Amino acid sequence: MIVAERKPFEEIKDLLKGYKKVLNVGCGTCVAVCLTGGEKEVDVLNAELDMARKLDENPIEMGAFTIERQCDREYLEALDDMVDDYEAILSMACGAGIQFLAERFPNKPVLPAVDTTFIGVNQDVGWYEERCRSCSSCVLGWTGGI
Amino acid sequence: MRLDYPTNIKIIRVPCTGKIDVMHLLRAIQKGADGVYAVGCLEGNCHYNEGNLRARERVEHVRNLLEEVGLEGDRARMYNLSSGEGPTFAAYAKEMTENIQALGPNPLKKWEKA
Repeated sequence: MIVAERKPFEEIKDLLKGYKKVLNVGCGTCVAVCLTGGEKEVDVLNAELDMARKLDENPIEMGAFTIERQCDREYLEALDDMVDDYEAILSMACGAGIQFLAERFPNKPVLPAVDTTFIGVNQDVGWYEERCRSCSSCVLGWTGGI
Repeated sequence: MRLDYPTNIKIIRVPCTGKIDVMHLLRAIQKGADGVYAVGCLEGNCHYNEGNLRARERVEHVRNLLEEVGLEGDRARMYNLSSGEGPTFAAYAKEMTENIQALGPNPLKKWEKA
């Protein structure tokens, strides 16, 4: 699966500085498994942003919606009727999902909330290891899978 | 056993502290509660083996999140006791109330009234 890490909170807050109403879109596949950008993580980030902006006396209205996969056009359709109500979209998907979202909604700024790090395996809860560089030239058959 | 504990505490019962989610704790603070604490069974005594250990990790996570947004992490705490320790429950309630009084009211409260 694709593994990602959430950007530092200050960086996300800074990205949303000029906006008052933002839709936070989660992805229910890889980044949900690595506990970075699924439905729960969307809710937690929204709550954090809501509190931080209220403390700054500059409230923000955060919408939340998590789709099954942001890298699949048929799931993006669910957002079509929603995005017009928001000034910007914050995506918690991997780079592929963020780009696909930006392509579907060219008139809205699409901002990333996570840093995509690698293709890896799930060793234990919260323990992910990189296992593929996606080099397009697999030699694992000759190297004993190493 | 006639015990007193501060009346400003609202108890929400859950079957096990392992049921408590990060969002339950965070939402309480977001909606204006001055503090939130989880009271679980003694460590090593969980009927579900690790419910209270998971709760402790979640409370720690919430403390970090609160610090991240600019609030005091100590607004969230975790206590452990056995179900037979009524006086300890009352003592923890008093301790938490004193802790919150020292921190002052939740600055987010005014937004909920608005």
